[in-house]
Amino acid sequence: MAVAGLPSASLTGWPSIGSSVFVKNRLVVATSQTVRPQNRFTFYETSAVEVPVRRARRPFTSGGFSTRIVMRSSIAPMVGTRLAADDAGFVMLPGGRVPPPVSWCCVAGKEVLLESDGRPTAPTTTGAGMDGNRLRLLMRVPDGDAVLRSFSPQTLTGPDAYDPSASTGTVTARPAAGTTAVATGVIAWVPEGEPRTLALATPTDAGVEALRTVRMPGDVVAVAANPGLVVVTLRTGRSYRVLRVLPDGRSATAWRGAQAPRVAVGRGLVVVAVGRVVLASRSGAVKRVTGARGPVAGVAADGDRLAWFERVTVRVPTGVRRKGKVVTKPQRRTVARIARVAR
Amino acid sequence: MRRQPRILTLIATMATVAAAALGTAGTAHAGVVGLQDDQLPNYVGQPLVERLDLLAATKTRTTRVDVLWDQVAPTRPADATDPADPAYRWGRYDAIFRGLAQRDITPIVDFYRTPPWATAAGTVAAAPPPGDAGRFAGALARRYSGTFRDEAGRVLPRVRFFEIWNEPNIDQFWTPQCRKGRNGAYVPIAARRYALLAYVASREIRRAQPDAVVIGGVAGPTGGLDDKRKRCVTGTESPAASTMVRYLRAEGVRLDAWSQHLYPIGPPDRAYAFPSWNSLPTLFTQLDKLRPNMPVYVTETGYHTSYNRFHRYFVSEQQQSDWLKRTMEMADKYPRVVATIWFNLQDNTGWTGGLYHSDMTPKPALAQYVTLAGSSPLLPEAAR
Repeated sequence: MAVAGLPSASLTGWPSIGSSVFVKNRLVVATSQTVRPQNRFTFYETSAVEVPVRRARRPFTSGGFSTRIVMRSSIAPMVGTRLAADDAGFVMLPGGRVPPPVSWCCVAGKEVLLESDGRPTAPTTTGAGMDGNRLRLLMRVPDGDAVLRSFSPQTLTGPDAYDPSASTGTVTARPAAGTTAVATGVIAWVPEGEPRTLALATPTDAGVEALRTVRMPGDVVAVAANPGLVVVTLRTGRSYRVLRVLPDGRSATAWRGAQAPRVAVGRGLVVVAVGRVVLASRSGAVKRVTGARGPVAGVAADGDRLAWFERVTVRVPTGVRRKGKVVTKPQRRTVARIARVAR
Repeated sequence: MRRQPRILTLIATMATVAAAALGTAGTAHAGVVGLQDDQLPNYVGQPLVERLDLLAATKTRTTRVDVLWDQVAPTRPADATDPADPAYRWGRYDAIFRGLAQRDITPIVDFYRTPPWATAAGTVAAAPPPGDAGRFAGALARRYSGTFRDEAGRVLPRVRFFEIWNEPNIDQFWTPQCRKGRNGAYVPIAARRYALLAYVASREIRRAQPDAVVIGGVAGPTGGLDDKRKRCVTGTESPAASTMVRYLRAEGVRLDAWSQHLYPIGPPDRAYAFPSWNSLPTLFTQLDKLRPNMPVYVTETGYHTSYNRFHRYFVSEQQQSDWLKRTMEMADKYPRVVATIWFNLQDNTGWTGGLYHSDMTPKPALAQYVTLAGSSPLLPEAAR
């Protein structure tokens, strides 16, 4: 007998949403928040939380998310945490000023810590992603060339097992923080101090090949990648643009507007959310798919399905009755929904 | 991982210079300040000597040593209480305790890691049979009683401070924490079984050394203070401190002190969730049921400077240094806290709370520690 699904799943509160990805039959989202226990002190938390999904009209089998990875620090906020995934798992890269630890989830149910160095002079990971079956990290080295580290965490027998395939290559570049994206056959980054330049290359275990640069018509604020496709969010004056960039450097505008968009790309599908509107397409300009019930805080894309996270306030019962009526109070929730798009 | 001796010598010299520069500026501390090097049991010969020199260069006078039961007793001894039983392999610990004695460093000794022969599970974290583990504690106390001679006829140094196990309230060091009952529900069992071990171990340690300081609990930083639950949900939940105290009391265990490990999320003087420095008075209330004014040893505390899977909370290196000082200031607020041991000397892949990075470059906290250790008193019984 088929299990009745749910139309949505919820996160409590309005945490900052980083990126969100589909990992086979799970929807994973990175959240970040500032925690002030009883106003005594502050610490910062970023988590990867997930919910199982299925390809059905009511896609959620659980109404709540469960935590897979949580990182806490008193150094600085870790907003803008990025995830990159394939069917075997996902890699998590916290944002903010913290030297980001990089974790792969999961082997035998436990995360594999790929990078964690708290020294002020430590190399900083600017981006990570799956290149076929290789997980690649581009790291900026202080006063030196960048390095591209490669792993195969999905082949490990345990979370602490030695990865004999791990390798490090040198890349003659200085990528800016947070502007690197990796996908099968492509790595893209913005060189430090050159916000209107996009560097494209083919990643290998020894470094990169076929490095070329593409002039962008605005300052690059975000980069996402898919096999054979790089999606770039630009700021030009007061407006924003989302460009599809092909590996040969040709580009086409997918969207332009006045608000900073939320952008995701997965298996060729580009999703853009602005305000309460979710747009998507596999080629050309994105078109409206749906309207959300609240401002959209994050999106995920996966071929013919997309997810978005909308901020809503609902009234929940307090358990108190007054004059025969149940007393309610407002509660903030971040609600995940999924829609299908035609291939 | 073994390090190059030359590097160790160089770093020991650097630490000594730092100690000379900063040690004199320290303020006197009421409580004992100590430092553990969990890598000590991994070294032998000259590398061990250099590692001990490195520890001594931090001006530490109190340390904690993990005695790994599975390595000392790889096979079942015929007479487990006899430290001269041929099954025992004490060699590296003889060298460690001799080295510490030569450097005037007082060890607090804990023992854990169950040998495969002792349990059906055969894992090092398996809850030990109280009789076997207790008798091993007796052999440990007898060997390092200050009168026992090794195979060459040389008298071995004395160890007076014994902790019973390490973090028996955490599944990683004591499993199972809960057992599946007849109705399929999990029932907590670790606290009760630990009380049995504590009873046998304290009895055997006192037989070997009537004036030894027997420290129980050795509780990891989890579990809550008070818990009326009779069920576990996942099977790995930690017992509350009150539960451990209740069973120890029921078994009539005689303990001289309690050990609590503290790894607060947040600054040491601000964090309040149990267990933390601010929540110690509530722990004291529980411990008074065991023995009024029972002293407390904080035999592990620290802050990590990068993320790791075992402690998901990390701070900057400067915060670690500042908070090390504030940790010792918090310890000084409680006369019942006898000693506070910083864990650890050096980072490793699973633990980043060291005073040195894993590549042996020092963190800012090293100089801070050297300052504090330089003005630390000795453990009360060690000074006698």
